[in-house]
Amino acid sequence: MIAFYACLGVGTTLFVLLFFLGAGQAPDDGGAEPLDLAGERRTASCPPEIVQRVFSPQDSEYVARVGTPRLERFYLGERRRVALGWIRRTSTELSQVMRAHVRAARAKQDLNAATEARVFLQYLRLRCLCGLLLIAALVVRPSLLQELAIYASELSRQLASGEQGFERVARAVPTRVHSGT
Amino acid sequence: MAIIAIWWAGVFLEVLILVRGTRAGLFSKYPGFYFYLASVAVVELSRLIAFRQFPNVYPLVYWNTQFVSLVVGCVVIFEVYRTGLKEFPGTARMARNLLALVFAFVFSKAVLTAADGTSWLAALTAMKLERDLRLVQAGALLALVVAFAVYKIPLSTNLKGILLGYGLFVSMSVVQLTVMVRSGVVFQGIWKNLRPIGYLLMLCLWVVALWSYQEAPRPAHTITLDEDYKMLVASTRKRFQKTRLALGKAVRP
Repeated sequence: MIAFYACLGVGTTLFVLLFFLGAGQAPDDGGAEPLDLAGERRTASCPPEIVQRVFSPQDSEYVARVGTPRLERFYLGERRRVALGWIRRTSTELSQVMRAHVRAARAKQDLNAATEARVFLQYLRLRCLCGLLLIAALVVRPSLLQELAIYASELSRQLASGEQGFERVARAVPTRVHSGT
Repeated sequence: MAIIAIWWAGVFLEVLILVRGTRAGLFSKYPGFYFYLASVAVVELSRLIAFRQFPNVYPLVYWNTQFVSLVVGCVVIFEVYRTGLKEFPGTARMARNLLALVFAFVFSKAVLTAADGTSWLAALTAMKLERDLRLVQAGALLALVVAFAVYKIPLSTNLKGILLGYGLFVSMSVVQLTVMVRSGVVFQGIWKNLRPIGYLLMLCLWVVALWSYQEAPRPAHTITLDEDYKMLVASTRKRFQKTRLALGKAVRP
């Protein structure tokens, strides 16, 4: 019975994958993406102190003191929206890192399957964590949103510094840019 | 009568693809694929003759030639691998190791199945063997398709057509043979006509995709940030590690 479903699964998976392949291949954007990703991130992310200010307990306490349900709803909605935005951006940044890796790795002579699998698994784990955080941000208590926001900001900052490190490495090694033709 | 019409249509399309391949200069680009197609055309004609003139020996001719087509079909998979990953030696090496493993399994499985039954040519046994071999082909194609998708390997219209046509045919065959083996039905009901129709569709796809030669789209620029692969991996993993630490803090308040 298991073999029966396994056979059907392999056939169906191949069919579906080929269908998507036939429907349209994703354009190869190798080289189209600017290298200065960190610069983009620097402008997009806020320093931790700004995030702390935005999510300060004073704001929350003030809203509680005022006691207007409409204002409270508005406040919570806005904070949640910002938190979700940061998590989504982190997720997007992870995808960008992976895409950059894949584009650079595919042309390497000494590409290693086991190493690639490890990198891909690490990427999958992180995407799953982002997914969990996203769900948490949707259902978390309002008092925890501040912590979540600070973590998200810290995460974004670290990614940006990681990107700078990556660029430093890239600059240290002679960069080869050539056209494919 | 309809099955004979489909049969002739198949032979006609195979010859058409071969003729177009000669005129468009595709033979030298995809020699493995055209070798497969020529052998399939010969097989189809021999089956047709056997079916019309010697119906008693037709099952014997069918299963023997089917096995030949299956083995030659592996050449198509190697062709896709060879041409598709020509510009990407590292990815090609990775895929080659995987394919070698898969094909070693094909032949060991074939030998084991052949040695297993007393009725090597019995329809159901042959069908099981074919299902197993098609399954391994499907596994090899899956590995290639995933490699193409993950590494965003640009494919020419010709190669994409070859891959799509053969891949869809193999996937349909796997599903069909699995159901047939399970139900024990051989050449009956809807299955009798489904496969030839699927094969005809594959040929139609090939006619369109292989009408003329199409250059493979190349990436506009290949940017190499790190000359050394290990350095590249270390850099990527470092960035992931940083993210993991930050996310770890977040999920453990």
